[in-house]
Amino acid sequence: MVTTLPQTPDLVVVGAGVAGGLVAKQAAEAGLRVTILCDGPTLDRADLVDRFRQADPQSLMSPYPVVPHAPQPQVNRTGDYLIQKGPDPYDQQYIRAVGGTTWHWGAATWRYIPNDMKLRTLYGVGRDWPIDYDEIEPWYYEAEVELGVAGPENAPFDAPRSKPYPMPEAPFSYLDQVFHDKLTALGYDVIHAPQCRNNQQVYDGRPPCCGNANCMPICPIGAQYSGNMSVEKAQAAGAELITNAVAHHLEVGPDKRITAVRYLKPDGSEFRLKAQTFALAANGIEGPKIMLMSKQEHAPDGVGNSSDMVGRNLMDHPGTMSKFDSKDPLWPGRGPNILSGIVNLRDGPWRERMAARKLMPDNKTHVHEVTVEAIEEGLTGAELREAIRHRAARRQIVFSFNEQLPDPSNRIVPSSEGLTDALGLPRPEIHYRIDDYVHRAAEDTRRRVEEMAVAFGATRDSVWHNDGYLPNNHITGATIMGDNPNDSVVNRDCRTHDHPNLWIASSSTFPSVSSVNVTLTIAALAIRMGEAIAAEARP
Amino acid sequence: MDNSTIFSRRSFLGGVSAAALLPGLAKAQTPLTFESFAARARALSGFDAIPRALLSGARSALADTEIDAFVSEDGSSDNADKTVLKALYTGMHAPAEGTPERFAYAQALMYATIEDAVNVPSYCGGLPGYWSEKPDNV
Ligand SMILES: Cc1cc2nc3c(=O)[nH]c(=O)nc-3n(C[C@H](O)[C@H](O)[C@H](O)COP(=O)(O)OP(=O)(O)OC[C@H]3O[C@@H](n4cnc5c(N)ncnc54)[C@H](O)[C@@H]3O)c2cc1C
Ligand code: SF4
Repeated sequence: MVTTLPQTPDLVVVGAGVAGGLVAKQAAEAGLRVTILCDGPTLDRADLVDRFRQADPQSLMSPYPVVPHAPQPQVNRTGDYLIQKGPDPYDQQYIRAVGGTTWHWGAATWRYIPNDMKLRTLYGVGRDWPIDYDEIEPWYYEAEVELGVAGPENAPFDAPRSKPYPMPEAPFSYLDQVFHDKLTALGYDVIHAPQCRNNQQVYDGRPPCCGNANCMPICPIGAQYSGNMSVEKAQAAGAELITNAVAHHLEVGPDKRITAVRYLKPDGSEFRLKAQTFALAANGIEGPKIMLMSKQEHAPDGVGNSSDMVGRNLMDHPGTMSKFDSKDPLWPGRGPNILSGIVNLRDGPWRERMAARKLMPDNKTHVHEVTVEAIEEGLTGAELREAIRHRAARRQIVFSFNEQLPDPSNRIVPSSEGLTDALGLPRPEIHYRIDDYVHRAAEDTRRRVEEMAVAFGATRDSVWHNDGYLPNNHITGATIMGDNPNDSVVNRDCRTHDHPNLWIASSSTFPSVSSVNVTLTIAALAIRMGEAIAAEARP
Repeated sequence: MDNSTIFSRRSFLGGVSAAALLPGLAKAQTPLTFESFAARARALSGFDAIPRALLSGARSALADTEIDAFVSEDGSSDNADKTVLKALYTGMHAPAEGTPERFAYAQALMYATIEDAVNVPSYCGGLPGYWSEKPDNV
């Protein structure tokens, strides 16, 4: 039996992460009656910190409670929920709770550069965005103000801007400074990473970051932005929040408008909420999955799917990691987890044949790893202590994000084999392959890091590279944006081509993933969407 | 973390001869008190003072049959040595099979080893921006 709720809000937002939070906040502050549905619970920061400190072992997900009715891909065990059909794993990881995945993010808030949005035109690969950088630039700034971004002025390969960052750049750690000096000498551009954590000042009621060095998986003091902050602002402006409400079906009327969303509570009871307008902001996997599950008379292939593009073009930043020991102590682990970026591989004519990249020195301590290593070698006593100190000061890791091109055969579908979660909803099934465009770039990066390592006093052959690719949780492409309704799901405004009152706020709308973290772009488009929905609703 | 296990072990190890309580160890040559375990752990780890939570946790990480070899220092306890050292240094016991158990976090010796340069993650490191300074010991 389905219970229809009595209220009919102007806008229902499905998802309470940064995307949903910002759409809801903009619309609620403009006076719309807004209801937010979130499949998970609200979380308490102090509890999360306690859970982290007590966890065995500590992982990105250890602070976060298991929510049986809203399963979350767990670190190293994503296959418990995501069905990996390969050939490559798509080990993405996300949080299903109020605030979403930005509870445990790195808070790196990069803009795309203009060329990232014109890949087809400039390099003959991938897809162009239907909008260009100038159209999104003012919204980027709004997003930076909203999230509270600290960043550098006039840095190379940072996108053009009309106004300064809301906060000045966060200072480099000693490690970043040494990377900067040595790599500049090798011809690289190493710049301060734009990041939404408070740099030596209070911003938006958040305290200054004091270097707890725990940004991933939980900032203990809330110095860095997380999506729950926007949800709370939306609530303060009058938005209603319904938690533990797992949306699973969008109803389509004969005029193609979405009439209602259906959701399940943890006990399996079903509710139906009607509204004027709907914004789907349930992340890049769950959102397309809801659309594909919503097959019905007026949407026989699922909601928004007349192009057959829902679920396709799934992208991420397949990541590489290279490790070496520097001759001198640089002491990773002092201050925020990531403070700088090596940026001159973000763009160049070679993008015709290989992926753009952003490289990052890792500023997390590796003391656990070097400790276990030294103990396994049989060291004891003073020798062990000294070895741990020596290595913890010198172990360097360089990460790289590779741009991946959209490929319609990389896709997420609701389980084709009837595999379900605790509520009986189909689990996401992923088909995913990483191609030579990425492989060529990864090879090039590995060679470059070996050259860099020499500048740090290491030998080339001492550099260790990971096998395959690391996931980077930038879940992109599966409701792709375009002007042509035959090969895209949403238009340039992120409104679905098929349903005039259904909008999508997510990196799933991006036609390209670029080489930088995606969330500032999600935020910019979400703010733009909130304003557009409000403008349309006004008489 | 299962506190009940730790507390029960802690209370019985707090002075009572383990040999008296564990049938498998009845023939042990070394008096298997908590103190003898702690003394050996101190020598092996290179730390003179080890928080009791770590010692109790490390003790509980060993199978009862391994304690004898560990305390006796006759060179037969390589695996037990490594198990105890990992427990003391990381604050947890993560057996190859079975469930990991954490008994301490910030007190883990690996953090004490580097405390003059790096703070324990999730605890404030200092004044905002402190990280831009060169660490004292560099
Ligand atoms: C470890 C890690 C580090 C990261 N670091 C960075 C970084 O430094 N910079 C960066 O730009 N990005 C980073 N990211 C990515 C970033 O977290 C995501 O891009 C961002 O969270 C996406 O926002 P979202 O609102 O679209 O989705 P989410 O944050 O995942 O939120 C989705 C929301 O929808 C809800 N939901 C899902 N399904 C349903 C349903 N069926 N019904 C109702 N509600 C539903 C969820 O509960 C949640 O509230 C990182 C990710 C990870 C995992
Ligand atoms: S370094 Fe610490 S205070 Fe700063 S953002 Fe990260 S966790 Fe928060």
